[in-house]
Amino acid sequence: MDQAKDAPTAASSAAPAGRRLHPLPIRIMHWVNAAAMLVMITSGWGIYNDDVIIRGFIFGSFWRLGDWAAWSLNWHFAGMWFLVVNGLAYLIYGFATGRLREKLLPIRMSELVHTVIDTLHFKIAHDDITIYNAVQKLLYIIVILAGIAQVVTGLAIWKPVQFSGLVSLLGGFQSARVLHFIGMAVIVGFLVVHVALALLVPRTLWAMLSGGPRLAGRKEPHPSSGHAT
Amino acid sequence: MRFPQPVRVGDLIGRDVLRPVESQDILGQIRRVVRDPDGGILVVVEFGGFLGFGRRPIAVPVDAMVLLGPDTEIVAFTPDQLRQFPTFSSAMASDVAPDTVIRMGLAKPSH
Amino acid sequence: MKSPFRPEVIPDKAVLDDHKPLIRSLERRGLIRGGLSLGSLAMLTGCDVERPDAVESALLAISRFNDGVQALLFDPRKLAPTYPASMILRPAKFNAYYDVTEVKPVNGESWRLDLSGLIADKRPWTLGQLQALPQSSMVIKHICVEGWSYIGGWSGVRLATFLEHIGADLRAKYVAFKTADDYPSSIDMATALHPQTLLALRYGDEPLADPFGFPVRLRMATKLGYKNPKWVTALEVTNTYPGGFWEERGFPWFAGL
Repeated sequence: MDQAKDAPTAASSAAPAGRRLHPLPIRIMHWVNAAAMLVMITSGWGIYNDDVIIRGFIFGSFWRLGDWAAWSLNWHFAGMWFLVVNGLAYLIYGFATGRLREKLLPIRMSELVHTVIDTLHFKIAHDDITIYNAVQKLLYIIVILAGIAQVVTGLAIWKPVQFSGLVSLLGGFQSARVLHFIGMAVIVGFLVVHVALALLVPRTLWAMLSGGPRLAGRKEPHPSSGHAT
Repeated sequence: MRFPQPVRVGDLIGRDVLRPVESQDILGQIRRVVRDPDGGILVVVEFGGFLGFGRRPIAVPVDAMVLLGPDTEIVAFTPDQLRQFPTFSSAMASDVAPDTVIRMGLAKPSH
Repeated sequence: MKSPFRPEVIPDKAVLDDHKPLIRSLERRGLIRGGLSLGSLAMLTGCDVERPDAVESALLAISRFNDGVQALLFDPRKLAPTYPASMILRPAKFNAYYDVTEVKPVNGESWRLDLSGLIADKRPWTLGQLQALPQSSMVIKHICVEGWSYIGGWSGVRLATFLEHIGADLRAKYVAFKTADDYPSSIDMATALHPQTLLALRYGDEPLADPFGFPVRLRMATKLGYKNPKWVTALEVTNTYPGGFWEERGFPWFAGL
């Protein structure tokens, strides 16, 4: 993107003090994940219709990727590689650079309650988009865990004989299917909130495209600054 | 022909009864299998209602139903027609013993 | 480049005439063509991206790659879970590419299993001869690509036993089947030799019923339901990719569990 243009020098942009809110690898992985997730969700809805989990409920053609089950399946089994490889890269990057820990921890219960109350009063604080509030942290952790759970339950459904131990751990083949469906629902629920907030605060969306503001040289975000003002 | 297959009456009790459509709507559950005074076999289905309220038993001829794996479907009547069925009363018929083997046709999944 | 996993000849569209699910799916496709779908939004375009040739080729290429990954994941010694006989669903669940009313029963007396390909003794087999071979039983889960599953109890001749008996080349790549209902199918040799791969003659304690493939069908614990042809009439051992009914319509070939 335009990171190089904005960076005063290569040396300072590499230094922690000059870091962007969303470094280029994060932005690439975010958008690859967004596309892969959409493919997995909409093709999954196409597969779902052949044997519904919620009796009486099917997904209309608008919502499905693949014009019938075979192609939904092919989309799903193609998208999975992008989701898994990209997701692994994200987790490795996040742990190796300390980003996950820095952005998502710690979550304090008092802060969580405070943010929820503020949000219920329509006081959504977002002056500093570089710091996540407790609710954001919790939601991001939940969706990362849900993504990992989808891979695990998906593997159980794909290879229930080769991974029969995993299937029995999940309560059987049909139970694994239901868990895979619930995982999808959690991720879709997150997506609705995530996209709505990104549209409400377009700066966050722009930041995920351009890299966002440069971070100050602080080491630890101040715990209470997430819902300041 | 729907190739009627032998099925144990005891194995039918409790099975879901579905509409033969892609969305697999549940019409009810099989409660009893009875013989009417003429000797015909009827499947008593706990039918209709919402969230458990307003359900009532109706008697469906076994020929109107098919097996879909562990579920069953009513293929000869629409839900609207079934709503016109009288509520089943036990005085009309006698239970078929659970170990009796009757025959029921087959269906493939609807989609 | 000629691919071993794609038919050289695109399936005749006339076949769809007697195939309701496909026709419905094509109708759905028409609906999608008529409007914008979320699937096309996912691809950030408003045009028909559901299945243009380039997308279809890419998806099939990945599907072939996945066939290879699945073959690597397949452990020939790994047994599928088995269940007590009391859990067998009686009767089994019926499925086919046509309605049950279209089933055409096969006469067990005149039935023959024709053999061809890399086989030493190609004399056709009768049902009586198959019944005289050692019989095996398994109570296993049938898992359909559609998502449903049930527990079934199958008995018959291990395909491995049969292949040894007829002097088949066990280093060949494929075992292919033809059936009375025009449902060609094929599997990899590793799965053919798996102990839970049977030429099934019986379900529960009874001979197979007509809608379930009497007199002989293939039953594997390690593959999806659609890989298990019913009313098998011919078996071929070959190194040339034979394809299959659903495979020619887009479904994956390996379909291992």
